[in-house]
Amino acid sequence: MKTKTLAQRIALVILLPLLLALLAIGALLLRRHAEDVQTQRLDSARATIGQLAALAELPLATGSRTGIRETANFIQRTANPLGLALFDRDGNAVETRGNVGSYALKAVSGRPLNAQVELHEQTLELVQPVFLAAVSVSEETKDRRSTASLVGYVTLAFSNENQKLALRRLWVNGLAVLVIAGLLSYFFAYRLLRGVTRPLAQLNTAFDRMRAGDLDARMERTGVDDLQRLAASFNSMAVELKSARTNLRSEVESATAALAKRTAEAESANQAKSRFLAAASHDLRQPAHALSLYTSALRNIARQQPDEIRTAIAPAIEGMQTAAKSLDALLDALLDMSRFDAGVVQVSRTTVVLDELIRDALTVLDSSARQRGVALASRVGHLDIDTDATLLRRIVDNLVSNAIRYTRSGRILVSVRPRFNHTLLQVWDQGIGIDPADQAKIFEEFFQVKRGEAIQSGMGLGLAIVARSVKLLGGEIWVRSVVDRGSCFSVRLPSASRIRLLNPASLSSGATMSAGYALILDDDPMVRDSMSAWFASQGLKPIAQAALPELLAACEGKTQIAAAVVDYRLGDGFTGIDAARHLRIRFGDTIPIVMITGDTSVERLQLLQASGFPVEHKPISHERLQLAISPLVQKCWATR
Amino acid sequence: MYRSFVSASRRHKLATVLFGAICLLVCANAHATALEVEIRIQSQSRFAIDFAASLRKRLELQPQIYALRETGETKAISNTVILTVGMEAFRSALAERPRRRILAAAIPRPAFLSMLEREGLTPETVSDVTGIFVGQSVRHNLALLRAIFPSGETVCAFDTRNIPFRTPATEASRKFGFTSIAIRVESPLDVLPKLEAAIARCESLWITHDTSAVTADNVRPLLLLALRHGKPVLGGVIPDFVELGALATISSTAEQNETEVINRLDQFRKSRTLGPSGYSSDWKIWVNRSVATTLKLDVVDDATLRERVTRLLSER
Repeated sequence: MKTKTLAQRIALVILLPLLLALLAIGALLLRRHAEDVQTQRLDSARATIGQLAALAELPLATGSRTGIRETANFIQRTANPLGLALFDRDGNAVETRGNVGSYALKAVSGRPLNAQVELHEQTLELVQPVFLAAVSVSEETKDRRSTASLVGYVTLAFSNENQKLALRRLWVNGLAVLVIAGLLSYFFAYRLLRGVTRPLAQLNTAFDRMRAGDLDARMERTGVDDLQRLAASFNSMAVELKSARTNLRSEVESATAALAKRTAEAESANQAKSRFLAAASHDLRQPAHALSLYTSALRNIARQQPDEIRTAIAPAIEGMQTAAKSLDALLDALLDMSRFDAGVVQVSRTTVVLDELIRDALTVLDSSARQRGVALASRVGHLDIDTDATLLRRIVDNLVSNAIRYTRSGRILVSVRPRFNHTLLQVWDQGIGIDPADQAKIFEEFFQVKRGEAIQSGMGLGLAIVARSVKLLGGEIWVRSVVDRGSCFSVRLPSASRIRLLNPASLSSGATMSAGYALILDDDPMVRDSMSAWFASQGLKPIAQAALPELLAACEGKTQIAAAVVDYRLGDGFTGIDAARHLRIRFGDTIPIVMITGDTSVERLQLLQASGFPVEHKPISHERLQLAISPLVQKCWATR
Repeated sequence: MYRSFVSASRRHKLATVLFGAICLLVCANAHATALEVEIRIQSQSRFAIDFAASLRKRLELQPQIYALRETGETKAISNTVILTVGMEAFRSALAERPRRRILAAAIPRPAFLSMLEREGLTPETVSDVTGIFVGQSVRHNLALLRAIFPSGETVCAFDTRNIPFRTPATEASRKFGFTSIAIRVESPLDVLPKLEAAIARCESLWITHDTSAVTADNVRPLLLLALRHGKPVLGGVIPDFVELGALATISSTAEQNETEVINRLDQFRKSRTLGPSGYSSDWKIWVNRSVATTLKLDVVDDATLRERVTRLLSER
């Protein structure tokens, strides 16, 4: 249906009920008229046959052929029936004109004494007996008595066609008059209403122009007084609106300029922060990396010392190792945030055996939990989940570590429950709880819950990393907590099918690598020394150099290269990737090479990801270094 | 005769021969010249038209006797006759007063008499104007009435001023044993109310072809009124009345009238006189059996009825 103008709608609203009423009244009147016409026709037919009977009284009584013919002629001429017939008193037809109709003939044969009318579909047939109104008058009393003697019958048949045609014309003409009247009414109403709706249309147009930004749109002052006042009000409103917009625009421009300035400042500050964090991370990683390796080497050396010496230095070594781990964790957190910011963390979905993953994670964290007097427990069924094992492990590690950190005593429970279309991972603790006001902020970066003695080590990045990991996996995380009673972190993860993950436990920290040379290429002498010491403790002969040419020279004549650890940043624009490629050229494609770096800048991380070499980030604990190198070494020896 | 002729003088002989020659010429001329008949008709009546046509055919069958002439062709000599058919033609011919004889056919007797009276003439004083009337005489009609109603006592009839019917009707009624009741009417409009008022006293109604009383406009209501009161109507002049609803009438047929006209013409051709005005000598009875049924009258058959009428006419 086409969109109608307002004038058309108003005209229709006004006229439609009127037209419907007129139509109903017209139909009613036409129907009544049709009924009247039908009644008149019947009356007329009765009158005609009555006249015929009166005229035929004498001819039928006297048998006058002339009179009968003249009567028939007269009726035929004046009433124009479809047919007529006159019968004598015995029912014999004495004059027949046209089609009399079967009903009339049948009725006459029955010798009726009353007039009969039969309306058929096509014809109207009437039969009338003709009586001679005999009058007898008594001579003495002058008493007049009338009797009637039957002298014959007359029948008439009329065609209904003319009446049908007349009724059809009546209906058609009536409807035509109604339609014409309706159209004329609509036309005039539309013309009248246009005088009202045209200013409204102008108003609409002006509003459209204003909406499009043209505040110079104005209305003409036409139409009735109310509309002229409306136009004047609109025009004054447009003037005020234009003035207001001018003022607003200037204010917005100034505010926008201020906002842009602040945004630029914020971006600059953010970039500065990122640069600072990247630089700090890199610069901190070198000594932390060395410290970790030195500590590991020192512990291996201490094992070979006499008991009294080993007992005396063991606490110190243990403290160093704890400090190194803390530093390692802090730097890992910073690295993870940098990797999330760089977008290099990609989801590699495999089938994860959840119970094994949870058990491994709790095994690793069990010692630190015991130190806090907290018991770890899990309630995990034999469930597989299609997800990234590393991200999930990180989620579990961070949540459990976070729970240990904020729990003085009690129990921490990790549960995994399947749901209809997802898996629900929950970590319950009996810690200090989280204030409701802080619950919305705990997944933000560098936010820590500060409640008395509960402040623990960390930078407030653990839950932020968890939140980003969960988001990357397509899940969601939320927390329910009661202060001084505990918290429950819930993670919703999608379910998947089952494939076994490489069991890291098979690479125990006590396992040693086969004999051979370990190449170390790092421009930091402290790192070179610490790594040399660690490789030596592992039974390998370390060859450590700051630059590639020296390393290649030192390797001259040596073929049993077990592994190579290459720092990314070597100076003079020469990167670890270039060095690793040269080593592959020199010693073949099977040589295991691990790229290590302390860089956290986005560009560097992306380059390393694209190189295809395994990458480890400083500082690296001896366990991680062993986990990274051992599979490569074993694979290499297997191929040889 | 021969001796006296021989003995006569030459003058006498010459005169005798001359006279004989003239006589022979006259006789020869008389036998050789046919009777000139000029037929005039100005009527729209179907009866008059058919009558004239039939008459013309019969005359044309004898061209040596009758010479048909168109209007204006006949000369004012003694051997010519103007034959008028219907009243209008007779009125027109009478107004011309030609010096020729007029034979008026198919004209009612009252009309014939009225026209003569209007011209200051009477049938007795006018020998060259003769009429042959349609219908039959009062006497014949009353004889018919008596034949149908042997025991009837009264008969009603309309009495108008311009028709001298009263005396002959009264006389004829008396002759045939009826008491005549005259219903006086001044115009045709009076007929129905006067009849309605008087019809209770009538056993039957006898009507004549009197246009000052019975016209085409009131004849049907008149008949219907009489029928509704169970009174038979008789008379009229022509059988049309019977066809319209009268019970019976006695009248001459067209053929009988034609024969009468030809007889008059033949008489004129022989004796140079048309004879007196009158009805046809032959007649016929018409009875409407439907009316008789309606009135529940038992009317004898036509032959018996004619026999009765003939007997009544001869007896009275």
